[in-house]
Amino acid sequence: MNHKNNISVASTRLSFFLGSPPTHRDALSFAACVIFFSFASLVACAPAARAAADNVNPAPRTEALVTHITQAEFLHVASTAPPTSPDEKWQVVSLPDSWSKQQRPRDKVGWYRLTVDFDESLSISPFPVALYFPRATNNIAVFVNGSLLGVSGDIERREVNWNNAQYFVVPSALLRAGSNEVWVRLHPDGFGRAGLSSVYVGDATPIRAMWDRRYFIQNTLLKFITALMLLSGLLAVWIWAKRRTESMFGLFALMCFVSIIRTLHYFVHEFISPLVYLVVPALGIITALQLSFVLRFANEKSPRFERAVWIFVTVASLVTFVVPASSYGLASELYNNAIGLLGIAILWVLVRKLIHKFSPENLLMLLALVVNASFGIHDLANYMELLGFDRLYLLPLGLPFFVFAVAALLTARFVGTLNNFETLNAQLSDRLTKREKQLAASFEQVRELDQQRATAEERQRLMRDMHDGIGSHLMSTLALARMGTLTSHQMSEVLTDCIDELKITIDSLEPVESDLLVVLGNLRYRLGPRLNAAGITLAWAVNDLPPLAYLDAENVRSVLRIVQEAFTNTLKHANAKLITLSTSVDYPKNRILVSVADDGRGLAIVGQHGRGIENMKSRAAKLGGHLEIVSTTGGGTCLSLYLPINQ
Amino acid sequence: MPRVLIVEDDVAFRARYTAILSTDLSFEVVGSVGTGHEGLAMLGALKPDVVLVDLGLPDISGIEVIRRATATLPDCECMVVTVFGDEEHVLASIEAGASGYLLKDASEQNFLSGIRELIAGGSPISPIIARRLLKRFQPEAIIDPLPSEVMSGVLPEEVAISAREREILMLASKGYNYPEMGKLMGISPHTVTSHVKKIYRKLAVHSRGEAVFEANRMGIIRTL
Repeated sequence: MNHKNNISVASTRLSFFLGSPPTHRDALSFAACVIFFSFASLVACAPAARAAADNVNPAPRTEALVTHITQAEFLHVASTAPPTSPDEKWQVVSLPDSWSKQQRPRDKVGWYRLTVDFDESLSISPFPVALYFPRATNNIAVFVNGSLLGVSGDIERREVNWNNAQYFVVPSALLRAGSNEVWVRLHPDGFGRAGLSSVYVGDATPIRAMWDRRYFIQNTLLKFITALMLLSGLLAVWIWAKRRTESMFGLFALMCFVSIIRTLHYFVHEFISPLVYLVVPALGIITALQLSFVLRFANEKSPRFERAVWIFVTVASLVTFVVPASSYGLASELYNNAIGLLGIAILWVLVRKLIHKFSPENLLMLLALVVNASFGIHDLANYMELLGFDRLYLLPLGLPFFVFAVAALLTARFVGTLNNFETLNAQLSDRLTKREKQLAASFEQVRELDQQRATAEERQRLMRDMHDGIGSHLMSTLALARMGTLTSHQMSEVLTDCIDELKITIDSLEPVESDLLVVLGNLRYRLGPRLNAAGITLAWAVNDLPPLAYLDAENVRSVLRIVQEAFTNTLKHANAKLITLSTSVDYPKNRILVSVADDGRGLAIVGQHGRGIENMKSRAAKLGGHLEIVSTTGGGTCLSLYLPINQ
Repeated sequence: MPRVLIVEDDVAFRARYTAILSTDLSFEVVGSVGTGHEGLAMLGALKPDVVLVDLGLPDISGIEVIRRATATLPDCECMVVTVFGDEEHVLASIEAGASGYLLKDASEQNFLSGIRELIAGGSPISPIIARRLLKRFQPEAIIDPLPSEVMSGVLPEEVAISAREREILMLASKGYNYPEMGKLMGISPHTVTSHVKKIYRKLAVHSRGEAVFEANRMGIIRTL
């Protein structure tokens, strides 16, 4: 209670003293301005200063000087102003000075007193002077020769400022020749590793460069890494969303996000309550996630081990929430050591994977996690005060290595997939070409066989035709001729018949494409001269007919035979003057009609030529149609051939 | 008086043609040979007005004799004497330049009237041949395969058939004879026959055009 009052009083006085509470950012911009102007004036005035220096004796200092201060005095007192009373018992300490090593209570403000000696020439030195603290945990206020120089942050409030290097420019008015005193008021804010690093004092330019380097590694770089982890995490979530079966990318994404909680505490000043308490558990969760990731990466399945690890990490993390503040440091030390063992398990899994199958990706993953593990061991030692208070924390710097290894894994997979895809494509098109050729060949074979079959069938039909028609006709004529009972007129008649028969056969071989009129027309064209010679007129009364799809050579011959037979009958027996051939279509009954009508004697022919008519009828039936013959004595004969449009 | 050359390897048929022609005093048989080569020689020597050609000659095809006759003697009428008058032989002869064909089994009367009709400008056409020609003279079939640089705009017009000619082919394919066609179209049978002859001539030009096109395509002829 008393202590808190002291602090609030101190800060009130401070505000009063400076007009407004100084902040770290202000100090930085102030430092930047000072640096800029001092550098500018240095460049501009260096020749003038040198000229002036030439006139004065003794020769002034021209080399930049930096003093490393490793000795100080410590006083545990809560006053807001530098304790100057000679009664105070200052304790000599060496820097860096760790409070936990000295076993000082970490909720009380303490004072450091440093002595810096400057020689006479300093007053005319062209170099501004600066102070640099690699680490001060937590906030500090710095006084020079009794005057407040600046503060690292808001000492009054709780801030997270344990990992920032501090830089202060000392106005030359505050300095005096000989011994100067620097007071540092430090508020540990309850941090486990409170303390003050060694101090550098001297020319501002090299001091600034040192601070810059330190600040970059300790602060700026970690901001970049945080952004990298956010981006990698989002990418991994995206991949995992697309490939839900690959839980390793989901685990990686989670690790990225949890690691952000940890990287934030290295540079965010605000004391964000839940976030701060998640910092210690986060390390365990990150490591457990890495272990789960690595197990999947290595295709190793040990669910019992994994479950045990997760139960341990969960329980241990919960314990860190309930541990009293006084033993929090020890608890987190234990916790971190246990996590270190998990790191060894991770490396073991990766080594086994690499031995099982060497690949650049496996090697990279192992190397990345070796780097992580060594950084982890380093930080563990650091946390246990084995390496000195000044030392940097390295573990967050290992994260990019891990991200890179995962990216390499993804790249290898992507490239592999692309290559496989290309190979597969090539193989496929190869196979396709082969298959196409095979198909074409077999198609050609089928077509050839088809053609052969069609040719064979057609040949058979022709043979049958020749055998039954022209062949037997010629044979019987030959027999008659041998017996000597054939007149030359009869002979030429028979031969004419044969030639007509041949012509019909030849015409039937022409492709007529389902056109019956062409077939009938051609018959007329063939027989016309003979009918004319017999004094018979052939009247042509045809109507257009629909195409008959079934009209192949054989069917054409059948139709021609029927009509030819009708003509021949009329020619030979009817004593007619006129034959009328007409065609018509009967769509409702799906048929066409070809009729041959004469004006001859009629009727008699039916009886006389029963067999020929039976032949004609059976031919018509084979075509899917039928034949009707109407004949009246003296009224001529009408032959009607009905054929289907679609067979 | 038309001077007739007979190219026929069958002696009996040669004798028969000569006998038939000698019954008509308006014809004069100036030569009668049995091989294609003799026929070619006679073409140059005799310059006949009418050539009767058998397609099945022992040395060269009758088609070759017809082609030479049409090329060297523009006024000469070539007639093919065929056994069956089948489409393939007839079309090949007409494409070579024959103006018509006679059937070997024709009666004397029909044989003579056939020759007379041919000289007068009439050519017979069977329904099957008419149908085939209709397909041959489809507009796209004529103009498309002949690039303009080959035909230089002359041939397509010359080989495309008119609506009239198309109608005649259509009717012929349905089996109508010339008098019936004339009646249906309101023209004389004689006009119908001259149309058919024109169609035949176009077919010959058409096939020559195709030959030129083919030759050009194969690189035999570079420029026309």
